[in-house]
Amino acid sequence: MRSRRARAGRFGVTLIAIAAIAGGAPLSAGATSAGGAVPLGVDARVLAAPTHGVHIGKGQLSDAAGRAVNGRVAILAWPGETFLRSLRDGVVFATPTVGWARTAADGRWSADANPTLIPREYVEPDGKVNFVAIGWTSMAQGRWDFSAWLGANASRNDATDLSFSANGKLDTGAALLRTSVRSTQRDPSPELGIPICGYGRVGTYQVWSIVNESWPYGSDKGWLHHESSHSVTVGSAMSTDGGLHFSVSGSSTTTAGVSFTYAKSIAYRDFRVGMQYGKFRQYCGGQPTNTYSFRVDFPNGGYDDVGRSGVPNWTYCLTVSAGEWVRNRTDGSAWSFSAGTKVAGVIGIDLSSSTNYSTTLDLHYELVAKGLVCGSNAVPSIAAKVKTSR
Amino acid sequence: MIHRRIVLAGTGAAGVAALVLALSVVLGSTTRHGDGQGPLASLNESGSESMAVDPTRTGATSWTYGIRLCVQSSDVPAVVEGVAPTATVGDGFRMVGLGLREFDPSADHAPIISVDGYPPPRRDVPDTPASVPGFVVRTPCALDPTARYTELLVGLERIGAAGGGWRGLDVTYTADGRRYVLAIEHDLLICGPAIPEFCHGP
Repeated sequence: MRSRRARAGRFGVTLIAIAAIAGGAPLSAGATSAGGAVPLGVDARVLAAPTHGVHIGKGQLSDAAGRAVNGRVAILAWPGETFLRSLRDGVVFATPTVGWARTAADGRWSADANPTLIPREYVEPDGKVNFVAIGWTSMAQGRWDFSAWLGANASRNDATDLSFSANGKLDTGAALLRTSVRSTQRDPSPELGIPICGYGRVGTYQVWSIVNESWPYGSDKGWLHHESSHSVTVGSAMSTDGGLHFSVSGSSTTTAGVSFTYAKSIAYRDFRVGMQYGKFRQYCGGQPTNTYSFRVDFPNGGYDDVGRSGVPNWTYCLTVSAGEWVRNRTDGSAWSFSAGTKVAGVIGIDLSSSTNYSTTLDLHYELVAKGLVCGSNAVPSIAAKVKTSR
Repeated sequence: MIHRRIVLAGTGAAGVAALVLALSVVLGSTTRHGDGQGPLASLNESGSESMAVDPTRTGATSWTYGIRLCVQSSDVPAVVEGVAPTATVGDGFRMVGLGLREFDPSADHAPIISVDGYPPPRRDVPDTPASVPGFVVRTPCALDPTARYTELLVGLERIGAAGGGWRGLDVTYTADGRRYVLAIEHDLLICGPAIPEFCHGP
């Protein structure tokens, strides 16, 4: 009894999330609704009535050839950074269906999400939620990951076009009922015993992104203070063949709420911050399916610096006295997060970053004598990179 | 003679700046804006800069700080009325002068972040700075390092061990018939106990 209570405590967060959609009859594979077959993972009960709530986006559904098709789109909620940080390996979390919409004849759709169906733990402090749109016709289905706001920022939700294609075979889960798939040791076990679809993390990958450099002259010293609290939207990918091939499937958002100061040093250095990606596998009724999602998990707070050689010849130089010079940038225009999306070595494709890595960087130089501060592409106060010189 | 002219210009500018700011408050007719958000700018985008000179390394007792000024459009010049600190920290310093210069940068005639001494040595600032009140800024904001450049020069002198200095600058000016205050996030500091976050490092 004691161990069961302890387990319930450990999985409390996930249980809360799943309870939000598990109050009625469990969803089974091969579900249908009044409109026909429903893809595995979509809760057919939600499709019984139109969704009224927060408008979260619009787009157009097409087939594999790019032609508009008539079908339906379901909206599933995916947890955000706060939840994912607490997610232990071996635990399946729910991806509740929180809304749906029929497409028009030209494939266009516009969807609401019912906020009461979204677990509170999935909503980030700024009101942003990660969603998965699953669109399907009678024969095909497709998926697109995106983020949208609840609350005051919901008016911004139409800024992004959520068009995607139903380019895969419709999977209602019939095969899952016929086949017993053996779990690997790393796969999450169905310990919650709730026969609905969800995802479990089966792998993590660290990706480093260079956010700045320091090139102090002689005994001068350089260092960096990094602080970020803004959102980063990074591409995601999915696989329906057991993880053999991945394709781009939209994007997901995480905050970059990390802050740290690199020690000052006379060395030439790259300053790097780490982002954790997660590989998630779908489970339905406790059994693993062949669907994987690869997406940004959260900034891991890691940072590092790597030595460099070969002093650059930058000529945008200004005279400066001995002392400490500090340059603060907050717009991120000089440094994008693109380097943090080079994951081809992991899933076969690189992902994109739809927004700059918005952050605050304080670049410091301590000059031991009168010298020069030189920018790489402009005067030092606004240059992308800066060195000291004589 | 040049040095004397700069000092006099600085003393006069401080008085004008105070008068302009006082009038602005009374009349409520001045628009205050950040960098890049009005006709006159410095970086012309978000961001900030700090320079804390270290008396223990330089041996100097006064310094000249340089701050770029530029206009969004050369069709809308800005007439500077005065310059004052947005705020100050510490009591180990005093302002000893203000000036403005406009020049064509080159390898041996470059803008400055700071140099030892006020007035600045001619090898670092070969120009004769002009008086602040009435100076017309016409140089457009550009990334081109060879583009004509307008620089505000501020002189601070160390008068005590505490150090300190200016936390930002307010540049009062008129453009297109309206009065503005450009708030520049640029700290002009002298190392000392008054600014413990500087000059020690992590």
